[in-house]
Amino acid sequence: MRMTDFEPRIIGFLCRWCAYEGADEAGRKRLEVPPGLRTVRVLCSGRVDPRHVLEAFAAGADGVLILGCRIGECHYRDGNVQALKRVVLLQHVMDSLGIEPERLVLAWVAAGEAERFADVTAEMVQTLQTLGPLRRV
Amino acid sequence: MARVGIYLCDCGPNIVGALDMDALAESARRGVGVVRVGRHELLCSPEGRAFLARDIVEHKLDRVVIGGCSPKEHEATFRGVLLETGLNPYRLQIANLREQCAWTVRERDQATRLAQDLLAAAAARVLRHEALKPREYTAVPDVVVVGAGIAGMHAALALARKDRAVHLVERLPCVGGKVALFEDVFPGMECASCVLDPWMDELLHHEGIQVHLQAEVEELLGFKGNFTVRIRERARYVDEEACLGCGACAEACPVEVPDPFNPGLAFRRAVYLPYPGALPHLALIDPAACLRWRGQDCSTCEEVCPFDAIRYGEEDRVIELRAGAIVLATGFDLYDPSRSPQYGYPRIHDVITAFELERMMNASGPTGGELRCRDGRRPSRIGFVLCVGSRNPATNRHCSEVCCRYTLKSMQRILASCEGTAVTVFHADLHLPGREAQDLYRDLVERPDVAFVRMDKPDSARIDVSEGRLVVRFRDEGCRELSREVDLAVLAPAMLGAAGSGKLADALHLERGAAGFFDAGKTLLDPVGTGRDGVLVAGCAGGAMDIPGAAAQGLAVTGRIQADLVPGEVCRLDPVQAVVDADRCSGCGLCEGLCRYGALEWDGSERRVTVNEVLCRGCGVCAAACPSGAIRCLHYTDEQISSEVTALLNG
Amino acid sequence: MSKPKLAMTWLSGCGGCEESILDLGRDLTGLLEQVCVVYWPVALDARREDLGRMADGEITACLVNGAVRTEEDLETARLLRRKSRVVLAHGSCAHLGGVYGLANLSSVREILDRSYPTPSVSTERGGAPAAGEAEHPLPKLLERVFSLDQVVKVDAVIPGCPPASNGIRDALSAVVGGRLPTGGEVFAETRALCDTCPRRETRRKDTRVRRFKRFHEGSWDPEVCFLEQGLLCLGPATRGGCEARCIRANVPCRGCYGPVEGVRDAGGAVIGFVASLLEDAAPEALESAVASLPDPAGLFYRYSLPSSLLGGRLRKEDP
Repeated sequence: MRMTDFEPRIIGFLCRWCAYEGADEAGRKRLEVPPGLRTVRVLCSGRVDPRHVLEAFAAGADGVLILGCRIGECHYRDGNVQALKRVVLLQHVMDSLGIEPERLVLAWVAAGEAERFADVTAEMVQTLQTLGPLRRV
Repeated sequence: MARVGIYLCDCGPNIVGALDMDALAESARRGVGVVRVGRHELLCSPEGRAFLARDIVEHKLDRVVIGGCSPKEHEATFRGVLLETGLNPYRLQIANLREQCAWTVRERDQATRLAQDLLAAAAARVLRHEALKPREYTAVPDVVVVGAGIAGMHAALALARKDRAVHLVERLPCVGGKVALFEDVFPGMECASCVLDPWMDELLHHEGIQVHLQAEVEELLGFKGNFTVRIRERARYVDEEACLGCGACAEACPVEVPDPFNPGLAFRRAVYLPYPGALPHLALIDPAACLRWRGQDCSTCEEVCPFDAIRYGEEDRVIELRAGAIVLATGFDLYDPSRSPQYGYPRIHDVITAFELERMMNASGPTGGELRCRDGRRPSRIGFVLCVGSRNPATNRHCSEVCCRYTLKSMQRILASCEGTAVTVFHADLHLPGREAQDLYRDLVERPDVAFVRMDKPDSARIDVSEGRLVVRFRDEGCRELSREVDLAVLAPAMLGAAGSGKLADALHLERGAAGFFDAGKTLLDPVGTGRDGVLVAGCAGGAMDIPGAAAQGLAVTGRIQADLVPGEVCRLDPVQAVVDADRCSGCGLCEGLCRYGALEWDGSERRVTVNEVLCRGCGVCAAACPSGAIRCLHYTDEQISSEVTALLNG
Repeated sequence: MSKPKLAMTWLSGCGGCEESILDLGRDLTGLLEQVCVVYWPVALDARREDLGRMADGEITACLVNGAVRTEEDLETARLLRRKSRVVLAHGSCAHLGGVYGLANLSSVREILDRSYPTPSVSTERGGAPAAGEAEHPLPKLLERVFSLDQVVKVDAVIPGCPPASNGIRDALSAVVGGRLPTGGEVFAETRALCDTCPRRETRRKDTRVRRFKRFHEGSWDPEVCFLEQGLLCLGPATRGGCEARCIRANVPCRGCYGPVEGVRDAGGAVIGFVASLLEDAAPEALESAVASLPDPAGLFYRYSLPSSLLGGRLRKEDP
């Protein structure tokens, strides 16, 4: 059952070269982006430390999104592959910690992919609306 | 005590129209260390920037937050303003209130809340910004040219004449590449070695050029102005000062192996001179062929050498070179027609490649310039089969540019020197740019002893032996299955990127296309660039081309280097880098293999990792992986990112 | 000059830290002669009331081991804090929550229901004893297990499960020598275990694994780094100082000294380096790698769950 009036709070780590540019492009095209999304710019999705993800959940995020360049197109060659491995391991431990693994999403958004950025973020909102807030107050 | 200033930009109507600016200013004022909140219609305008500079000074700020358009637009601009006022440019943080707020969130209250959080995050982060200083280094003006063919030699000589130190790294034991092996060259039928010799001589003796023969690149790190290149010079086992190239060693050597310079046509010894006229004129030993390397006790060459030039004990040399630019001029190799068995190569002896034909017709080649079939007789009917392994998605998709023209050249030469020879050209389109080619074609096509036969598709002929006769089979334009008998079939195989360039591409992390050529000229107006600053491609290494084309590219890279890599130029290193805390690093070494730029250096004695600041790109992958938290990624530290995340969620 | 007054006691602990004091061997008698032990329930007859009668700050140094699991633990911790000048967290439970901390993966309700099903062998009427009531004055379980510093200020830490004797010796020597530790000083190394591991020379930079082996799946070379042998050793993410006793016993490190100085979350640190070790990022390869790490919370947070960033399983509702 989707809680359509619940606006999930999402921390998005966006890589400067592709994803952040894609997000800007979405803005330039005036696409609608979920108002609960809060972005943090990093140079590479490979910069995102597992601790940053855990910190975000500990601080109240309902979901964490990591967006990077497509595999094979990482500005730093394969930083995004490191991100992928970390995310899989994180999802493995999140399960035991009572956080649904779907709350952590890793996706690839190229610099010009404005619509994709809007779609990925909208999809995440839907997932989180179905799961509900991470904590009920 | 920090003094933070927060500036809200109306951004024309873009931001002010979508957000409650008063609410933003109010919440911004409550931030830790915030002593000033300002507002302007258009901060990026000259007036806006002037206002910002004045205001920063007036309020004695030491850190600045700007709520405006995306940092992609004006981060550099506003960093410039900070610099002007005497502040460190890294004490700035921009909150993206336009592209990622005003323009994407429709509802005013929601957009304002988002903006408040973004500003709070920027303010929290900027408190933790350090005053980073870019490190400076002087660009190395020297150049490493890989490949001593036409393009590489042209670049090396042109650069050296302008006082650049050049390292010319060549895999073979001699310079000249493929062209030095040809005799008559299209279109003027000039003798290649006559044209090249004085030139190669200048190159080999030029003070500014260090020629490394038998050498390959093992590792290449760094970037424009600051490359380190590690090369391995394989041992020659011959003293270069003592050897006069008399060839006594080769004559006496008991071992014979196929000669790669005259493929299919000749043999050479384990100790040998590459080919007649090869420069430099020195012998060398091939350890793959030599008996000594197989455990046998042979010192024949040493015994017969009149100049005592043999050195069995010589070792490979590994040399580290420093350069500011790299030129890849590794040339081409021909497609191996044995991969297309329908041509019968090399099973059928009288099917040869155009390169083998060149060597046969070369006066100093293995047959003294005589055209001969395998059984020794003179061929009276010669078939040239074009597009072998070319223009065919099943083999190689590209056209190799020069085959049609060199075929015409070979035809002209054969018809002139071998009376009574008839020539047939099996083709699917002819690629004949320029006037000389057209003229030559017109002359040839009118001859009764010449036939141009058009096939329906490229790379579709078949060759076999039927009743002892060599037959070329094909489908013509009308799709009729036809055949012609010939005495000698000459294949024009596709030109591919040199086989050895694969290792180089790996060392450089550069892409090569399916045909093995470096991906050069991706940008329309940059035919010799690779997209990697400081790494250029010249000649056939980047795609099939003719000799003038390769020469032109050799000069093109010279021009680029002269313009872009100025001696004495001071370059700045981006201070956004990883730094290792030696007191925390445990020497677990788990980070080292992660760095794609070779920037993490392992100190074996201290058992610590350090960052090479010249190579580090600041991506932070190592910082995120370090289990000790010993690596800080400057300007993207854990504290900075954490403070942003916390502020975004908790206002 | 009067001798420093020393107290040593436990909260919810297993007794291992008590025994670790004895690991000091002969040095123990020497040290004991230089202090006045005022409260040591395992060895001396002492009552809570005795503690209560002391003046605030009368105890020079108090070593507290065990995690804070019950209301009684909480009370005791606060009492000891009041009565002591310095409080040292002794052992992983006090330091980080310890193995007891894994209880935070369940709710109190779940724990009680599991331990005392209806009917149960240990209760007459079945079900969990009703704690805190007059008839059964058992201490109530707190909603979570806490580390000591999450409930009182801690001046120093002697990490380990149990701590190696060198850490305890250093701490007690400091107390005896009048150098009372402050500011959360940790009596161990700053760097990760790899720095002092006897197998450190056998680490190679390009080691990669496809999946991790389990300890029972092989016999292990006593000279070679466990990671090189495909076995997960938490040494890179664990503070050193234990003299690598487990490694020397040919058993990989399980992380009992907690994360390295400055690192808050052991699990995050382990995930970081395990990801670097994985060779292949293709979906099947990652699945296989992940499957070779069963019980990741237990594996990564065996000793440190309460003090980790999330503190335990996130509960949506109260128990």
